[in-house]
Amino acid sequence: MELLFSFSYIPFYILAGIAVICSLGMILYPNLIRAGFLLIGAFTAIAGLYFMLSANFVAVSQILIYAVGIVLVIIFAIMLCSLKETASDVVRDEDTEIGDIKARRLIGIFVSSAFFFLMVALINSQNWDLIAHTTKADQLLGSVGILSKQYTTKIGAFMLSDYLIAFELVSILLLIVLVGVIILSKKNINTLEEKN
Amino acid sequence: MGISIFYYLRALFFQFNYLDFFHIGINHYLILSALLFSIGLYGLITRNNAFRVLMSIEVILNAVNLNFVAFSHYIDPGEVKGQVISLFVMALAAAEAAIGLALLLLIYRNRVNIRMDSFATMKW
Repeated sequence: MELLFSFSYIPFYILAGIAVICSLGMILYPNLIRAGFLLIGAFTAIAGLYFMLSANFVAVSQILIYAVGIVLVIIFAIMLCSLKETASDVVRDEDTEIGDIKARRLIGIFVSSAFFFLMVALINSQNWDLIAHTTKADQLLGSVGILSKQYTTKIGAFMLSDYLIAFELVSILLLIVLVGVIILSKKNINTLEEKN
Repeated sequence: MGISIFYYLRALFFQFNYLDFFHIGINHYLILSALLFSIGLYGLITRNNAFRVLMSIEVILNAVNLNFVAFSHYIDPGEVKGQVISLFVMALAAAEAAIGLALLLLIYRNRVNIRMDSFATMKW
């Protein structure tokens, strides 16, 4: 098990590379539907990272909610928007035709790289060995199966005891979202008001 | 001033005592999450297609979730608070995606395109 843990950098770098490359492809690929399918790769790689962090329930719900649910909803919405022949710029990005695209790209590169290097500097300035229980986590990683079972039962207990208000609020929010999406995506909203 | 900037840059790029390549710790996950966050930020700023902006927001939320789960695993192992919060973030992301896509369909019905600069009429 120690030997297995000492080689755990290999799946980490593979999954991290897949996540970063798929997210970059999602940003840069010109075809929008293929960009949406690249998003599945990124989310699945992040689910693998959750498995490595022994968060099995979060990983499975990541695959169920993100990699299947949200991405398919986005792709269906793209298909709904690009039904007409005139709207070919929905699927194909026409970013190059905009005048200030170079300025926006410069601003984007500056802001995102500044954020990234600031975060790297902050993370490296911290001595994580004092705070993080790395050795304890390594010891616990040897018994992933038992731990994940405990984690899943603990998540259920936490959601119904300590985080009960947040849980109920999320359920109310999902109900509101359901009704709101149905009303928003009706064929024409104005007919509702005219009948009343 | 210049020397302090030099020391800062050297500490930024060559501080290998905390950033070990082969021993994966919490800082690897944090740096990966910062990288995903900045990729999403770049897409959020530069892209003109509203769908791609929504996808960038999803990538940003995933980076935050990765942070939560990494902290939950390394800072308090055996506890699940970070995982529970990441599940709540997932539910909120699903709600946000549903509402955002419905709004996009509505905008597409009113104006035929979904470019971000075409519905900037409220911009002063």
